[in-house]
Amino acid sequence: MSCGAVHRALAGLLLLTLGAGRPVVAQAGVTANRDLQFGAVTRGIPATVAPADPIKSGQWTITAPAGTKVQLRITEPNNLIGPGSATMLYTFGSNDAFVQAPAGSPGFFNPSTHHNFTFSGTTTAIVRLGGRVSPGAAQASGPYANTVILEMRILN
Amino acid sequence: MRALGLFLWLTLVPGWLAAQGILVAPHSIFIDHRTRGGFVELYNPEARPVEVELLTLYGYPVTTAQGQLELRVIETPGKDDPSASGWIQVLPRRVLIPPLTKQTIRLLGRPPAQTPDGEYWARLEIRAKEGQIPVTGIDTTQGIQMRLNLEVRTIIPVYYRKGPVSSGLELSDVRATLEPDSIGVRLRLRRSGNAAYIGTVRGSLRDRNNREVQSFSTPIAVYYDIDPRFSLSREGLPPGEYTLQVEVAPERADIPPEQLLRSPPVRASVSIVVQ
Repeated sequence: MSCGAVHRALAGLLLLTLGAGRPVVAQAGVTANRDLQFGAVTRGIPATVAPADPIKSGQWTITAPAGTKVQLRITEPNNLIGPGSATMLYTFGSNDAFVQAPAGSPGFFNPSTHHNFTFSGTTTAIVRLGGRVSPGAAQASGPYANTVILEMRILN
Repeated sequence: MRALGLFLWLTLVPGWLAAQGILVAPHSIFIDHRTRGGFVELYNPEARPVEVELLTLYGYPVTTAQGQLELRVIETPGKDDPSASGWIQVLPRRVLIPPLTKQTIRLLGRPPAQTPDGEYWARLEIRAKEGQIPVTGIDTTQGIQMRLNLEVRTIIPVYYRKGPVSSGLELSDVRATLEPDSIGVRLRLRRSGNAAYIGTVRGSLRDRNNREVQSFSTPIAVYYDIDPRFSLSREGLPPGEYTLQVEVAPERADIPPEQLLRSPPVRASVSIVVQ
């Protein structure tokens, strides 16, 4: 563990315990830990990343007080937008996302539908995302980009 | 212990090092009309600045036919909707939060004149992004580069209270359904008063000797009538007769007690036969 990690952890802890001189305040939030990585791609050959992939999958950490029930919504693009009017197909399957509490088992869900999660006996969990890109045989060169949004709605 | 647990999680989760996003506290905001002001603190735990945008919207949790809670967002609230989303001012609405820095966001209620006493609701949406994040999927030989911009959003409730407010609950129609590995529990919660009911649902499954064999405890917020579903494990439960006792009380571990509206607990029970 790096000194930076310790520093950040301590700063977060201070926010919890000393925030503006008030007693401990429950907190919530979403943090993106790791971007989705497809590795090297070749024209005409789709590349797939499973949500369970510990290195390539996208990962968020969600935080809320124990017992909190939340609705998770992932907004994913249908494609990546490239140079000019070029697009690259981006798709996902019905089990391409999961949420998992520490020491819990993953609860898979379809990223295109919302999913409820309860922070049972924990204040954090991770959400992971997989997907598939399909570069065409004549895919134009250049940068391709789009946006993925994870939304956490507190329900109680 | 919770703070210690979070500390360990913060320090041990490797992905945290590359994180981007924001922590929000508190996770429920209460504003009193006498001061008209509230606040929320945002913390950037990372080594890079984060762009944050804040919006207000109107919505409240409802239950689906299956008893799942979901947030119903109403883009254009009607006259009868107790919406505060149109008149709660958020300052600032956009902010760039430097690394390891806390930013206080102030909320100011400006209800229209003649707004009746009562509780008004909004949701605060906190959007955080850190510019563009490259996706390592670069085919350098063919010049195809891909990246996804990651954005995170947290939506928390805001309660604006003007004048006397009260809330109560009626609990009815407790039903239990035996499933292969669990006992599904449904119950109707009808709110009274002029404010949302914030409390905790507790269920206790007891055997013929009144010994508790399973239980659950779940925070809940009732804005309008709901019919939520809960679940108890059947693991290790021998066949026999049981009683499920349900209690809902205005108690919450995560919300300051002075923000909870007092009302008597409500209770109900139902008999269950496990085959």
